[in-house]
Amino acid sequence: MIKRFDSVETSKLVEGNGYFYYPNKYTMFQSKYRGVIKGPKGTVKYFPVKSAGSFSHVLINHLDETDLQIDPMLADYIFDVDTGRKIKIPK
Amino acid sequence: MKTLYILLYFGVCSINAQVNDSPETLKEFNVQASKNEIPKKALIESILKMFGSINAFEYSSERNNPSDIVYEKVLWKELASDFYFELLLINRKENSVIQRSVSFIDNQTCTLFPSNSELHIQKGKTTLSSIELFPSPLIAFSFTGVKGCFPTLNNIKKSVSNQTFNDRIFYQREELWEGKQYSVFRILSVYDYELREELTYEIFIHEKTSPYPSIWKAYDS
Repeated sequence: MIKRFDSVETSKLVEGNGYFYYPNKYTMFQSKYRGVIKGPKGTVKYFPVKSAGSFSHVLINHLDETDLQIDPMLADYIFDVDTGRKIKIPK
Repeated sequence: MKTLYILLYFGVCSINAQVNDSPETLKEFNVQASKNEIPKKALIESILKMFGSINAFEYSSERNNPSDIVYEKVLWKELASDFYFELLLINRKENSVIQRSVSFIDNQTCTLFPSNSELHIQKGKTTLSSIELFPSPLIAFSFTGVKGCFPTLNNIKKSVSNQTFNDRIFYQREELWEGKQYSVFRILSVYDYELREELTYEIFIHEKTSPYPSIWKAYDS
């Protein structure tokens, strides 16, 4: 086993006809930094890492396309990474 | 010399600790006996029913201990196949600071850096090198995806409705785990985004009315 995910607590979110189960608390055991070392008891391949996290403010079916846009007026400059051009935003 | 002995002692202790924490291996079961009892259809239908009614998704994820002075909080928004996230660095002694905001819309990536008031625009959906640091509630359903990407609403819907997902459910069995009875599904060829390879997953579903896996384990082949 190289990963294990446990839901410590789950919540059911209901919105209209939609519903979604999510872990509001979870623990994760992972084997990060893959590699092989030779120890006195044999070969060790995995380095376990334990972490915990939580999710909050989970919402479903609440967004529209305008919620997914960054307002350019929050910036002073626009930098086009592909062309290398930098344009000052008139305000 | 004394220092060297101490270093060697701690070095051996460290290696021993890693040996003791070595991962468990995938158990073999009588596949022939259980193959006739696979309730794949019920699992697939319940997942599709849940995701079929969702068209937009938003959540925040907290990293580290909220009682710490500094911790990270990520806000993620997703609408169909487009998604957007903001990374916030929150300092409890001062106000919350938006470190950067990223959106992926119309095959274009926009990154706003408030610190220098610059908006970077780039063609294509750039790969987020640190995306594995931002687990989502959808991570529990990562066993459904095989396309080598972080699970999104769209690819969970597509992959579960695909016949190949049905074929990848190798078998199902019942198992008692810490006093609770679980239905365990073994699913083959699950692409793991973090390790960038296909793994075998076992998902444990406790409540038969819910498609939500209480536990999953990933095994290296």
